[in-house]
Amino acid sequence: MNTYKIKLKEKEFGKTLRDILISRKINPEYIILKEKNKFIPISKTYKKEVELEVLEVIKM
Amino acid sequence: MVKCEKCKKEALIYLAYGKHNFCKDHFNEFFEKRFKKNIRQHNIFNNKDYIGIATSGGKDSMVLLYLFNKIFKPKRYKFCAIFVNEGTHNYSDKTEKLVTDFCKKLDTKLIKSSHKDELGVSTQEVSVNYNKKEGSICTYCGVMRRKVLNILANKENITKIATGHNLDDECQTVLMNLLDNDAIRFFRTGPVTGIIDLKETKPRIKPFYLTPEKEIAAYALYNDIPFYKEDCPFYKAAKRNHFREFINETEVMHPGSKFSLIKSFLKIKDLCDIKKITNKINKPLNKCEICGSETSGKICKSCQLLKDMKI
Ligand SMILES: [Zn+2]
Repeated sequence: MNTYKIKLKEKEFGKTLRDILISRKINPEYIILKEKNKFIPISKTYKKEVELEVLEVIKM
Repeated sequence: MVKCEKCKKEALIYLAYGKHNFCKDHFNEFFEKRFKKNIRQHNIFNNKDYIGIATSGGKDSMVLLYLFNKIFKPKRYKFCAIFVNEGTHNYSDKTEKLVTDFCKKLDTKLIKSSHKDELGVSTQEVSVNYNKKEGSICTYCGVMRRKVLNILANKENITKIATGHNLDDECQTVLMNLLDNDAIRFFRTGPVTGIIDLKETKPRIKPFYLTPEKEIAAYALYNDIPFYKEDCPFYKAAKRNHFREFINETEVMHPGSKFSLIKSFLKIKDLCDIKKITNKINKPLNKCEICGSETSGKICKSCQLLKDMKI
């Protein structure tokens, strides 16, 4: 299972993580997100810079 | 903060097809309820069956084993785990240890064997000596694994073999068979496989038939269910991967497509005269001349592949 980190950019503030992932060509069907070692839903939005961990849970 | 639609606690997962936000407890409840409903609706098994859970150590089969323990053990259903060591480098030994430890923890009976012990040859040995025209090493390994599962199920008087096949696997299979114009295979698939009543080949059941793969991974991670996170070193499935990508791209653009595809397939299957379509394979089956398994020819596919390799 592959894992990597992504950082949100200012232009992505206010958008759902689902929309952000899609615009970054990351298919949400393959991954689960963590913030500070805690699982988070892709319906979440942010207004500040944040680093998220992407867990590729499905073979790609 | 995104809230759970049931209890207003912080949500953990979003399911786009139903626009659901759930906390851990309510996701577990939703996930387990659908699992039970699928078993009930499709008559997958009942309390007279003895279920053998084909447990590879991957997320799907480990979650399946966990759920049988959580839901069906208290109801005194009879089941056990089956592990088949394929003999592929140390991959098989690592998955064997994981499954053995998990069964001990759950206090679940485990039946173990290997390709080498039952068929006289391991996948590792086959990998250096197989006919690439007949398919990839996964084709050989799959045929061997099915055969060994059947041998073990027959020895143990198991009535049905449960596998971890999920909604995503089934979508890929349905589309692949459809685009291959393979009506027999197309109609053979379903929550309970096999349209002929085979005596020696146990029915295969798929309790995760309507469970998306990502949710199985989420359930495993949220509930600390151990699973082997690497792929088999031999894993190659270019065609299946193509369909996986296509289906997942469609699902993102049109959430709910996976469920729609399988529900449409079940409706078509229900409306069709399967006997007419599969007339070819509905003739009485023969016994394989080598191993005695039921087969439409003289020798079953597994023995034929092994014979071709002079093993
Ligand atoms: Zn809740």
